[in-house]
Amino acid sequence: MNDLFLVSLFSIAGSGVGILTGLIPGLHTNNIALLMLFFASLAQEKWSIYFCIFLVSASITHTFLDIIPSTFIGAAEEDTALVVLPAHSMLLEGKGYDAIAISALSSLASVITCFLLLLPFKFILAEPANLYLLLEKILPWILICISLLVIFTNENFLYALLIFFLSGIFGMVILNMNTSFMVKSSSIFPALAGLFGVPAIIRAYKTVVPEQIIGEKVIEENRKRMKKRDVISGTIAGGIVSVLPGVSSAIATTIALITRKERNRENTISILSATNTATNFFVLATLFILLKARSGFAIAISKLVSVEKWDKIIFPYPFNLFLIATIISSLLSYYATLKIGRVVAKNISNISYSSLLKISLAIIILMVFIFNGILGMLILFVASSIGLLCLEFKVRRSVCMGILLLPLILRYFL
Amino acid sequence: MRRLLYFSVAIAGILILYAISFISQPAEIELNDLWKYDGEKVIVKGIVKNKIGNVLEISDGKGRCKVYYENNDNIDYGDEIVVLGIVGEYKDEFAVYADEIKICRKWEEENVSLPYLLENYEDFINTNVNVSGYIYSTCKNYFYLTDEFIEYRIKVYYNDSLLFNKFDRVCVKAFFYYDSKNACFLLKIKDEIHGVIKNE
Repeated sequence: MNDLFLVSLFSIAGSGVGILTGLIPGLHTNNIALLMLFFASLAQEKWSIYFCIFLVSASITHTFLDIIPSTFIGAAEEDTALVVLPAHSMLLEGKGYDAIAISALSSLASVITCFLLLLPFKFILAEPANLYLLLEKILPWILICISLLVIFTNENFLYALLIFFLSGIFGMVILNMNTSFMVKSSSIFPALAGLFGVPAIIRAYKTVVPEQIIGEKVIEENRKRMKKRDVISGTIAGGIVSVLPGVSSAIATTIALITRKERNRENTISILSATNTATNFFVLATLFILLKARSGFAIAISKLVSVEKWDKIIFPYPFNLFLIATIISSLLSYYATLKIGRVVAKNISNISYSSLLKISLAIIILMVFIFNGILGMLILFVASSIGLLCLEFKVRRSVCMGILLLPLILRYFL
Repeated sequence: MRRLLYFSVAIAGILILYAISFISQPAEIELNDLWKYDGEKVIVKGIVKNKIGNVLEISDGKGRCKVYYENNDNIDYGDEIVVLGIVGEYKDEFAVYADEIKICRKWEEENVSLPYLLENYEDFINTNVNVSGYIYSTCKNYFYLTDEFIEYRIKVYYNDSLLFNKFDRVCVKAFFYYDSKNACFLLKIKDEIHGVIKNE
């Protein structure tokens, strides 16, 4: 009983921190993971499990909340880079809150789908199907197929090819650079903020945000509009990439988007949100199924507690506690996203949007400076040029994912 | 005009960043100098001697160190690797937290003769080896491997029945270790990557 109370308490506290990291562009749960490692080293060993629960809740909550800055100010992170355009265009039609509602619903539906797929995921990935071994072998070919689809499904595919290679070469140059400044960070943040966030803000500068329409039945309407297929494809994509080394959720979203031939903005947001949440869920499951830590928070958990392989049907300890934390944080995050999204949507037309964009740009630049210093600023500047060039050429911005795809493909062949 | 401007800025920026990354490339150091580079990004090179979960142990002949890297599925005992990472503490000793690992040479690419293996056992102990020799005698769960002059001999543990004849020339891919109880070196075929191939 006492245990369950502490699990709930740390889940709620973790969700609170996840809300903050989700709302502040540039702040990621991986930064919190480092802090947790530090605090855990000061505390008694028995508290380590609760620090892990805190981390699990924060990382799940983050995937719900990060849609808010992406929609209202176009400030993207790696996970939400591709969602900026559809969400932002909905904002300009007064449907910003709809974008938030679709995202929150999709993330919640994704968590439910993840629970339903958890046992099949285990049996397919490990014994008896052992799909992991096959996936690992064919990964470079999967990535090549994704790249070709991303490029050649553009009308101006020559321009798309140029942007893909420009982003890819840029990625090869910067991905191994040590850009940590005041806080330990990677060069991916300024690069993706430049490729996706800054161009969106610059383009949106002269736009006037209309009053946001917040209907009484937004949730019901969007629940009807939301396609099960989008959530399922996003969840499966999240599941696939969570086991593959070096493949991020941004690539998962690219895979999921390709699988959907006809898509509108709502579909895109739904797929991306489901993928984003599912990736974090399955990263946690992969830690227990394959004993592989595929992200910052999973590495921190593997350092804090002893992780035993999940080889029976019953969930092992402490995976069962993490699943309880996931349920608590998902429910809290769902309502928090809708509530905060509603407050922002109501007030966004009353404030000067150009000032808000200036503030957002300033926040991005400040965060880049804190995390990556002067070198990060240079990366941000170059990435912004590529992002703006992409907009000028009118090619889909998913082509900029060459920044991750090309270096990853070449790593397998060179 | 704008397109040209953005394109030029992107190209110039990539070139500048490349120059910066080239100049600020981390130093390649020996493993026994690791303590001097705490918190810094370094490049180290060595042969994998041990692998437990996400931790590899490498040796460059002069020193040993642990390397923390979660995506190490394709790295095996005996592989020669180059590690790019940050030096930090790991359980009261210095270790490299790797950002990237490149495999310079897979263990199976280097085929050594049995005399060379046993004369230079320090370089190969507790690693996978690809060793060539001749079948000397076979039993149910093991066989003896020898050289062409029958001067050197090593016991090879093998789970399946062996379909080779005496003095067949073979390549054995196995784990090379020292059995302290019996004071002898042994080869053990224990994983899918191991095996015996007839060498015509």
